[in-house]
Amino acid sequence: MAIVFFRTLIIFLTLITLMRLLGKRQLRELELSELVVSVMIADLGATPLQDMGIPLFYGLIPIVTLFACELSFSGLGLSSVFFRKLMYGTPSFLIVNGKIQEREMRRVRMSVDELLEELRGKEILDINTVQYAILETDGTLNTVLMPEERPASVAQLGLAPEDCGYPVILIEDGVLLEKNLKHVGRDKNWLNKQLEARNAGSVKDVFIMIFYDSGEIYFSLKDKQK
Amino acid sequence: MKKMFCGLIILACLLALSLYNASFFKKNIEMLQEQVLESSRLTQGGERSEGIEILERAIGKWQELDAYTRVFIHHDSIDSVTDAFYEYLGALRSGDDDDTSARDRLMYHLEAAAAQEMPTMGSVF
Repeated sequence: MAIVFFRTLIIFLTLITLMRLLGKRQLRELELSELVVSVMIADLGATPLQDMGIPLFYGLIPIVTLFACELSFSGLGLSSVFFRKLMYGTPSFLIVNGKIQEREMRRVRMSVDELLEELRGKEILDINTVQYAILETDGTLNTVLMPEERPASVAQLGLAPEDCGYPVILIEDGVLLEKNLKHVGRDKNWLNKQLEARNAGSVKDVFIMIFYDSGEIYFSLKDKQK
Repeated sequence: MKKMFCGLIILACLLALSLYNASFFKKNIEMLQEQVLESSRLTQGGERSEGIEILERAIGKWQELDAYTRVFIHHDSIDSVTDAFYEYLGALRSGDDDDTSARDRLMYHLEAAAAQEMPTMGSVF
């Protein structure tokens, strides 16, 4: 048990170090410790299942150890800026004001082709239109366009669009969500009137009914009721 | 922060429990080894029946530990120790003059089972 515990700690720390050295491009939306835990847990859980001669604890202890490591590491990352930088690094600016940062590209080991591929994925074909391209610590590439290339907001266009508000589901697949009905300040009498007006015999006939803050309603009967 | 402390507490508990488990198991193994050596001493001193009795007591104790060992020790190691116990008991009962090799084998398997739980540089790496 103690050996399994120490081995898990050592493998966890080794993987964290190696993955950190490999760079953030390997991560793809997972934080470093999350990735390491995901990679290890799948295999650890299967080991005692495949061999009945291995006590279940040999699988459980490493999994609980990893879980505790992940909790501790993510907690430390939140409470200490230094630890966070050490563990997860800092975002890398790959393009600044339309200019590719060669040194940074070499540091994160990304080729121009790969950068262009990522930009194409964001429908950006002209590097000159990019003010910043930032490789985040979780491996995702975020881009900020030059001010003149950014899509105009509704406020900039001076428009006043209708706000339909937040949608609340009242009936889902024939089941009334009473908590939601109460949340929007309506009662069953109101609901029955709405159903009647839409030719629905009962709640069971409704596939979906959504109520918007603005008072609008999206309504759809079940297929066989249509 | 709460989660971080939970994580650290879990790690500390796991460390403490696993070390306690290692020392508990080692203590039991040492007790069994003493009984085996005592049994060997008595047998070689001509008190064969007393030697057998002590060894049977050691086997009983080992079997009592079964529910515990099955949870923490590789089942192959448990079976090896059990086999070695009965092999040595058989050698003592048959009056075999060369029972020391069976005893040494049993001592080796007990030592190996204990080593499986003791964290050392060798066992960890």
